[in-house]
Amino acid sequence: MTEENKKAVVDIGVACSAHQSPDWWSPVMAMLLNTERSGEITIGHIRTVSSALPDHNKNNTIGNVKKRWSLTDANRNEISKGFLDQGSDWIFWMDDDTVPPTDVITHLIKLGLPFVAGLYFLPRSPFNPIAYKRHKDSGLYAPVYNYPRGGLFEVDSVGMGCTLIHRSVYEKILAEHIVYERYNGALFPVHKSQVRKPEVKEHRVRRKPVVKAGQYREQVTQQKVEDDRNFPYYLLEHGRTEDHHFCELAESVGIKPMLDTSVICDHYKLKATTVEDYQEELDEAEGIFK
Amino acid sequence: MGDVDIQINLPEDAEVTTVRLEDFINTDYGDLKFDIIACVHVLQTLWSHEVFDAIQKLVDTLANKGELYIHVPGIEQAVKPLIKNTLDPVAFYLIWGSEKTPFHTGFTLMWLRQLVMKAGGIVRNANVGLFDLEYSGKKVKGIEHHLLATVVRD
Repeated sequence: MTEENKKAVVDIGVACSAHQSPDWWSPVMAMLLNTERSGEITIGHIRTVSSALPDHNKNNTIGNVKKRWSLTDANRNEISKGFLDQGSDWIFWMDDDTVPPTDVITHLIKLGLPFVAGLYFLPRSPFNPIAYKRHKDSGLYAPVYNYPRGGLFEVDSVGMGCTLIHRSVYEKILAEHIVYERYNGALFPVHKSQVRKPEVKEHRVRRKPVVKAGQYREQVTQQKVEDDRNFPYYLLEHGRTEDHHFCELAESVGIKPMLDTSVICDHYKLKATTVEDYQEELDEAEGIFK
Repeated sequence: MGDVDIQINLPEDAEVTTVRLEDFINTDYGDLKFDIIACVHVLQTLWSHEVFDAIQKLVDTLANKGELYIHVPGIEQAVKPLIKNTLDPVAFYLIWGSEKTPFHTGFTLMWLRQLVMKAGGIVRNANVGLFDLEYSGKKVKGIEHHLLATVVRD
């Protein structure tokens, strides 16, 4: 084995690339060059596709009304497929508006964790980190607020704006889930342990979903062999962003995301949202320096 | 080490040795390595210039893929009440210790983590938590930093 072969190979996934601030490109290029120069990591493929996430007018590129091509979940699934079809060990997800530190990939790989994310902040008040804990009763997510600086700890969900994931996480999810088609034709995966017999291949009469005895019931069928849609690692469902779904799939195979709060990104909109925005909000909430 | 109890899952046949930090620092362990080292609420009694050498020794005496647990008072959380001009005796303790056990160093979680990484440790978990503390005859909660690290030797 050559020295080159021993290096970890990392793909870069950017699921929503359209037109970025010029300020975005230079630090991102510096990050990629710095990673290669470190000599410890090889950048594999840079996988970017456009997005049509229908929020904050992001589906319109700035300056005109041209729609982006597809929804973020479909783009992420497309990138994931490309990553898995080829031989890279890791995928580093970032967004077209997040700028991680230049040493981020080397730093995260050295942690030796299969699923780890850095911090970036909501680009508007209250500037909370895009990392979440799930309420155990309601199942709803709340952002990790007032987090410890320099922390490295488990959370329930993270965004994909600065996240390193080993291919084994995707492979385990793929191996342990069955993909079903909903009444409306959408795909969704179910962990094999959650599938009860008898299995039905085809429904003779198609019935709309119903709620009965406090349970939601819907006819589903396994994804057909000829259906070439990608495995739904990421899903925009229930008004949630697609990353929650991936984190729940990973959790179902025993892997939860770790959050490294020593890794802090800027989040560009018209200007960068930085850790200082978060700190000002927090200080005000806590009555410090007033 | 230290007077604070923490929960660590030890193997049933684990042989447990308790040492004072001062004795640990001054003992030559030769090739002896420990599978688990817990350093609980004592590093803050060292002067700041002594801390790195102590952490280096903790990492160096850890067996391959062993576990190093470090707990220290959380200084940045303790400082907040002082900035707000709140008289919180627990905050005073977390920063300066007691007459019997004065503290000489305050740790931010970031600094603690960087020291461990610089010493060759691989940090697996770093977070804040609460610990039980007896202060002026009362049981109160203090804020601590806790860190779990390992080491991988070729």
